[in-house]
Amino acid sequence: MSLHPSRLTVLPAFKGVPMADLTELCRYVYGRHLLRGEVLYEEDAPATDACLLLSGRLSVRLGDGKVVGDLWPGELVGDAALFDTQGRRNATVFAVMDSECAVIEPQLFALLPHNRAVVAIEEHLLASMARRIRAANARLEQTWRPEAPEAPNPGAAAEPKKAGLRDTILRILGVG
Amino acid sequence: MNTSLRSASEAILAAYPFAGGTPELVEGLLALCPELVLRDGDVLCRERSHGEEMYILLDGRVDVTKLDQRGATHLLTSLVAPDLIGQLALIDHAIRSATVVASGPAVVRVLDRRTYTRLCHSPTDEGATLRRLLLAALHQQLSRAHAAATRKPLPPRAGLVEIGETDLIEDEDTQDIEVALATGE
Repeated sequence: MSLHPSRLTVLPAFKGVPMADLTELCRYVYGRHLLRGEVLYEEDAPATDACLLLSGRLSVRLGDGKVVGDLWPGELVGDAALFDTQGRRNATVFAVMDSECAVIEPQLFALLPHNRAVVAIEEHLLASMARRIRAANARLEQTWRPEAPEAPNPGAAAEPKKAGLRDTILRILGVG
Repeated sequence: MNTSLRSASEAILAAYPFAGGTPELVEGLLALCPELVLRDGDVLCRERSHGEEMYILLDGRVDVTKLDQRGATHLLTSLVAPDLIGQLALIDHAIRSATVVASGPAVVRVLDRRTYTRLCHSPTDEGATLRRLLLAALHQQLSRAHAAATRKPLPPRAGLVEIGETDLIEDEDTQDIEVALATGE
């Protein structure tokens, strides 16, 4: 489904972007309409593109069925596919109401390096990823519990050690 | 051509590959950033301070430390070149999340906020190089964090040194972290 640039002008991310750049962008992205309940991305499916939500609302569901958050117009979902085309979806995303998305494929950035709409998408992505890292760091700090000394219990079998917080912090910070 | 910057550029691209990235472009980015030579113990940035710069570690090693709720300092890890340090403060204007200290002699290139802002908004090759380098680095960070939260195997990353003790984390806490990674909430 082709996308008209006027569908993008309503999003804050594209404020100030020249119409010519939005028009050029629309030659490389396409629209996708989702009915309420329809799945956009299935967990563990190959990740080949990302979607910019234009209207409606999406929800994110993890493997155990727990819905962990909503996505609103202007938000980008599935962005990992823009960096790793061999990856897989780490959550299921579905439409809570009839929704419309702009599908973005990884090659967009190489094809339109000087397009201001693409610059806007990249800046939007930076902010989104930074927010997620900060949120994870904040949760990590809340759960930080220094190891308490335990009294020895002769005869008790040794319990398997749980994942160390230090190891998790290392990985959160991208160095594990 | 600056040989050391060119080799540093190639190392950065090997660590953080991105579409359209070339050693020439990364070298051009590095050339815009003044060099800062650190001695052992020099503090590059402090936890909870406001950051007006990010750093590209070109040589040497730095230690990353963090305070716990009691105010005790914990060594989280050490970073060796090449690596990016402090970029979140430029992206979202929030305070520094850790303290970074040189562990032995080290060399960084400093990208200040003014240069960052100019490049990040710019539809030029230099701007694209900066944005995409940062995106590649943040993507790797998120991937590793998600793997940690879901206990999946991590991809290998060369050049890292791990030191220190461990603390305990409960299973339910890792799901909270996973939620934060997915939604930013």
